[in-house]
Amino acid sequence: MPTEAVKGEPLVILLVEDNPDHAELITRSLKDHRVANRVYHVADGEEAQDYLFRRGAYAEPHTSPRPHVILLDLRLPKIDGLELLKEIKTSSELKKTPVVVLTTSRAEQDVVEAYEYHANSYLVKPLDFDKFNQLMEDLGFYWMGWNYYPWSEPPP
Amino acid sequence: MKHAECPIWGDQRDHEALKRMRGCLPSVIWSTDSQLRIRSAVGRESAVVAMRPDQVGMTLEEYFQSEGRDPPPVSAHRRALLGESVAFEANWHGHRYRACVTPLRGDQGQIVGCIGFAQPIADRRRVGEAPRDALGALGRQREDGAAGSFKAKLPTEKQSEEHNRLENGRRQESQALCERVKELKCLYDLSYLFARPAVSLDEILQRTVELIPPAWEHPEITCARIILDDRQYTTENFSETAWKQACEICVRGGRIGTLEVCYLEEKEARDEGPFLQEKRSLLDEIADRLGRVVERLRTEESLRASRDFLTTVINAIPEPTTVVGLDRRVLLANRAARKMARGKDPASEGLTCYQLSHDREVPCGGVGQPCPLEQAAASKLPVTVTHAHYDADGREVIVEVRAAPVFDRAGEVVQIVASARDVTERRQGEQERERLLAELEAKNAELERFTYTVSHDLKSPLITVEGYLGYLEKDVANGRADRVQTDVSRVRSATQKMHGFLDELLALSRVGRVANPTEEVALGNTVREALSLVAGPIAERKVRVEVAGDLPVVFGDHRRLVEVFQNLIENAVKFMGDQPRPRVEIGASEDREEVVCYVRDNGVGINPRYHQRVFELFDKLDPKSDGTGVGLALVKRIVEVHGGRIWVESEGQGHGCSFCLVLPRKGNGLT
Repeated sequence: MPTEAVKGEPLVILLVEDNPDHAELITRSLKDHRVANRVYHVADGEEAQDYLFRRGAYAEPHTSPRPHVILLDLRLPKIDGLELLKEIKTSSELKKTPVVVLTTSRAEQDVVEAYEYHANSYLVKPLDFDKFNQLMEDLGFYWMGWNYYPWSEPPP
Repeated sequence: MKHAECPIWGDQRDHEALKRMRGCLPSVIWSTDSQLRIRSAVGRESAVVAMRPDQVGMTLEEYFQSEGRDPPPVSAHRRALLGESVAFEANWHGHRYRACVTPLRGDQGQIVGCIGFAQPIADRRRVGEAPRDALGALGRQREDGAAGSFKAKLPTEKQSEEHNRLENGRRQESQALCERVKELKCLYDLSYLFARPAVSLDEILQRTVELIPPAWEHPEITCARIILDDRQYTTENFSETAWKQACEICVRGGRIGTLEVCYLEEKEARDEGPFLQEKRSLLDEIADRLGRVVERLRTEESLRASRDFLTTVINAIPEPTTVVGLDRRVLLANRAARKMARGKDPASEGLTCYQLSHDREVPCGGVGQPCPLEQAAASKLPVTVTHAHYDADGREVIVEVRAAPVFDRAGEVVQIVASARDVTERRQGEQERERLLAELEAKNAELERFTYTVSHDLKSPLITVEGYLGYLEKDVANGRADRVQTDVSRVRSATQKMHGFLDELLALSRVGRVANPTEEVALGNTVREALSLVAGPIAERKVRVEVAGDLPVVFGDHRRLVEVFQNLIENAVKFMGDQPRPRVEIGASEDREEVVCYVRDNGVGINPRYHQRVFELFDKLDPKSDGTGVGLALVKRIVEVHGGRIWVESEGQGHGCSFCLVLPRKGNGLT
């Protein structure tokens, strides 16, 4: 049975973001709004693969809890965000995990391609501080308060 | 005496001449060539009883079936060939003949054969001296003066009254015979004159009037004149008298002139005033022939004029134009086409189209370039194909060949006419245009990528600045002085990063715009200069640098090439990882056209899957590393502007890597 929105449980987010400043801003904003207390940050596509497929430094399950949602930047070193998205969405294990693209790009090509690879949502980082905060708050509440997940037990 | 219609054989010219004389023939006339082969014969039926068509072409020896020893007729011919006029009598097929053989001369006076005539003798009595006199007179009239002597032994008899009467009859007959010979000779001479190649009408008319007096009964008092259009041609002694014979010269029924013969003295009356009926025939014949000669020459002249006109037109065509037969022989070539053959005429040299145009000894077979000849012959339609031809200096030129079939009356293609227009420049222009278009497209795509990248990457620090400024406000409002410091430093580093971006973008944009003078660049100096700029990091990381001693010379922009090596060395040093013995090698190899340089390190290496991405703008494999991700994009751009290319070789993480770049030895790639 699909579970309802996360109740009481912490929302686990995997943040794939190469810009450390942005990662800090996102984490801080999410924490300020108490919507997620478990944000795992990886800095490039390859590290994200390691985390998701539990390889290398993330081989131990406790180092890589399954995320409720993946926040994915598109322009990433080594492995590009779209490529990673494609891998996630073609993996039988991971394809049900919602992926929210969070990027500075509003290029039409990026939006179209992201949805072609089955992104669940596409968000553009607002320049304005208040809007940025608002987005993080709404994002947290949406995925924690409203969204239903396809798994009955939260993934390990 | 009734003249029977006789069979006539022999070659056309003789045939014509003899046929004209048929009406006044004594009995039989024949001609031979200089080998004594019978060329023609004409005469009354009884006289040619033994002559059959298949005997024309036979030699006299064969005809008389004599071997070894010549019978009198044959030896008489042999003497005629030596210049004599010989009279003799001979038996043949039960008849007794009196015959005369005289040399036949060409227009240069050379003996080209014999002409003979014979008359049967009713009784078997011999004739006297008359024929000899007549023939002697004929011989003396010859310009060459090689008059014959008469060596035939003619037996004499005691003369009686009866004999004298007969003798007079014979003399008259002989005189008539001599007149015929003169007439015939005149016609022969005219035939040779008219048949001579490249003879002018003036010359023909002048020589014709001169040939007339000797053919008349009294050559010494005979003169002649031809009036044609506004001009007249006369013998030296010409004077118009009352004793005159005239005939119109006509071309296609229209009168174009007159031919006149006058006697300077009065002579006894003949058939037409003082003139014989046969001379009238001869005069009419000569006038008729003159008419035809004039017509022929005028036709030839107009043909020549129209041919000259066409030749002028064809030669004026600037493109090499040829008419080629189906056997690929060039039949006609205009001036431009002759120029391709270095001034020779391909048509008279018997060149083929592939020899002329493709400089080859075997047909092209249409491989790579379809043969217009085959196409036009097959389709019967004009075709246009593009070929590579060779000019007189053997240089390749791209030509557009337009070929059209030429048909015979049955509608079959017998030739093609082909014209080759040099489109080398146009073709080069097209290629240049295509190249520029491709370059433009590539530039557009690059620009699009660039704009995308720049807008994305420049926005990132702005978001950072905006975000931390927002937090700073909160920090201040909440009295969180502890946070202010870190937030401010984040803002500062973001603005610095942006500054760096902008600087490097500027540098990148300059690569394509500002071209320092291109020159011969000794790569050894370039690398040395680059190393001095990176000396700090090299020393700090204790990197051993090995530079090959024989770096070649390339053609390019020295300062830009220094930037290339500076970036590559910097990168090598930066990504040494924890290599205990860091080393960078720089070297090159070269061939005739290109130089391949490499900058090799034993650092962290690059996973093959990222070998393409490392050169992309703002792409950084290691987000934590310094730099903006512009360096290698800049290097690639500089190398490409030089007309070269760059790639990276590495077996992957931990195996070090080599950046290889190809630079041209000549500056043609530098834009």
